[in-house]
Parts: sequence; C-alpha cells; structure tokens
Amino acid sequence: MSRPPSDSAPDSTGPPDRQTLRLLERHLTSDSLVAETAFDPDSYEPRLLKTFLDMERYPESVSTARLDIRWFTTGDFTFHYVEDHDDSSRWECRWDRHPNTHNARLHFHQPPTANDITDLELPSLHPLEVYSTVLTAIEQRLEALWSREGM
Amino acid sequence: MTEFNPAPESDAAQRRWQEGTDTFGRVYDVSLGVTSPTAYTEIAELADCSPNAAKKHLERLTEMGIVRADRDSRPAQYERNDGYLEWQEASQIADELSIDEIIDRVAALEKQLTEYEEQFGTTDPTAVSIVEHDDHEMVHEQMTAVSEWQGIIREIRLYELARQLSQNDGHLIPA
Repeated sequence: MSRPPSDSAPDSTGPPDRQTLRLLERHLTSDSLVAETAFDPDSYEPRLLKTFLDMERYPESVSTARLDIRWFTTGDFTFHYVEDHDDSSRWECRWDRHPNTHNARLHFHQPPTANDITDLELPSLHPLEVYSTVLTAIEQRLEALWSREGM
Repeated sequence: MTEFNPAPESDAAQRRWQEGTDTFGRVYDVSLGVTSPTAYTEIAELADCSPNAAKKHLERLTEMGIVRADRDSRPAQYERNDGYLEWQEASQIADELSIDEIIDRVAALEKQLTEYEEQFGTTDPTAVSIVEHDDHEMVHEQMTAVSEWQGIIREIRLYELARQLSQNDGHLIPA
C-alpha cells in the first residue's frame, strides 16, 4: 500500500503503511522487551501500533512503559516512548521522521519531556533497522534506570 | 546518569530483529520493508547474507508475487509488490468478516471521512499542508490527522475489494 516517495507531496507523510506496521508487529511480539502489542483502532484498520513493554524488566518505581509506533508510506515514522513513574512523573522521548519547519526531517525529541528537539542521524532508514536502534536505546535506558536504582 | 543516546550501536554481532531467523526469513522480512526499487546487494547487506543468496531468495519471492523485480537495471533491483499484498489483505478481510460487517465498517469510515472533509474544508487530503504551523506539537497533530484521513480513503477501497472477493467466492472475477 505504498508509493515511491516521489509520488507524494514532499510536505506529507502519506497514509499509514499497513505492511510495515504488520512487519514491525510481528518482530515486536517476539522481542524480549515487549509484553504485548495492539493495533489502533484495530487490526483491520491498523494506523497506530501500540507496544506495551514488559514491566518485569523495569524497577518498581516505573509503573508503565510503552512505545507508540506510526509508519507512513513515504518512509516517515514516529516512535514515541513513554515511561510513567510512581511519583506521577513522566519520562518520554521520540524518534521522528516527518516534514516540519525547524529541524531535519529525521529528528529526536529529547527526554525527559520530549520538548527539546535535535536533528538525528541513523545508519539506515529500513523499518527493521530503525526498530533495532530504538529497542537497543530503550534497553540502555533500562540499564541506566537500574544503575540509578542501585545507588 | 549519562546522557541518553538515541542511536546506540548494537554490540551484538547479529542485529536485534535477526535473532532466530534463517536467511530466507531475513530476505523476506527485509523486502517487506523495501518500498522503492533497491539493489539486491543492498538488500543482502540489510539481511546479513551474501549477494548471491539474497538474489536467489528475491527471485523466489518474485515468483511468489511478494516482490517485484527490475532485472534490466544493473545491479537488479527489487521492492515489495504492493498490489499483491493489498490483494492478500483484502482476501483475509473477505475470509474473516461477513459482507454485513464490511458494509458497517465502510459506513463508519465514510462518516469519519466526512468529518475530516468538513474539518479541513476540502475533499483532498493532499491539498492540506502539515507544516504551516511553527509549533512542533501542532505539526504532529496535523500530520496524524491528515495521515489517518488518507488511511481512511485507502481502507474504504480495501473493504470494497474485500466485498467483491466475498461476493465472488474468493475470486476477483465472477465465475
């Protein structure tokens, strides 16, 4: 369900890429960090891939952690990672590729608020490579959480 | 705590997504994410296999209809075959949903479509610019809305194809 990027207006992401969302879902369900996945609104109309991370991997101070994924037919995407903590604070960041007026098409919303945006470089824009990079980064975040816990 | 690195290099010899997959599985998965003609040598690199193995598996996937090949270019290029994959999705919908369920879903989507058309004052989502806002959050909201709107148009077409398949007992052409 996709066209080559040249067919789309440059300032559009295009519709959700059903095939890529299904591909990512298949890989996420077998990832050791992931507890559950769900399509929003549902699997017949997949637009957003909700990924709930395995809370047994997290320190008790983190109540929920999830990754919301959108992938578009232009190869644009958003990976939005959100941790909710017991003290009702939130830690979030997002890996994004989409048109905008003040950053590179590929950019990163810095944690903990996702408000500060920096340009981003990734070795590859293939969905499985982006997925690998994001999950590896989350794994490193987990290590940092545990080492802070141990202090 | 050290600063968060959004693009860490994986120290594992294998990439995260490749655990437990054989060469054919890796070439298949890589090609499902390839949406423009891509040299088989590049696909081999992504799938972590030899160019010869990638080409062999890509040829098999082309025969199966999952991949489209451009053998005239040097080196040969491949991309996923969206036409085939759309038919596969419609076929699955036709299998799993009744014609009445499909009709209900189309009616709900058409209602959403009208709401988007009223909200943006046009019937053409590509006429809406998502970057007319300076505020990044607004760009995100606009981007999501326009993309879902485009998605709805495609979903309606997909359900139409599914209904056709259902009415023809799984065939595209009536017997």
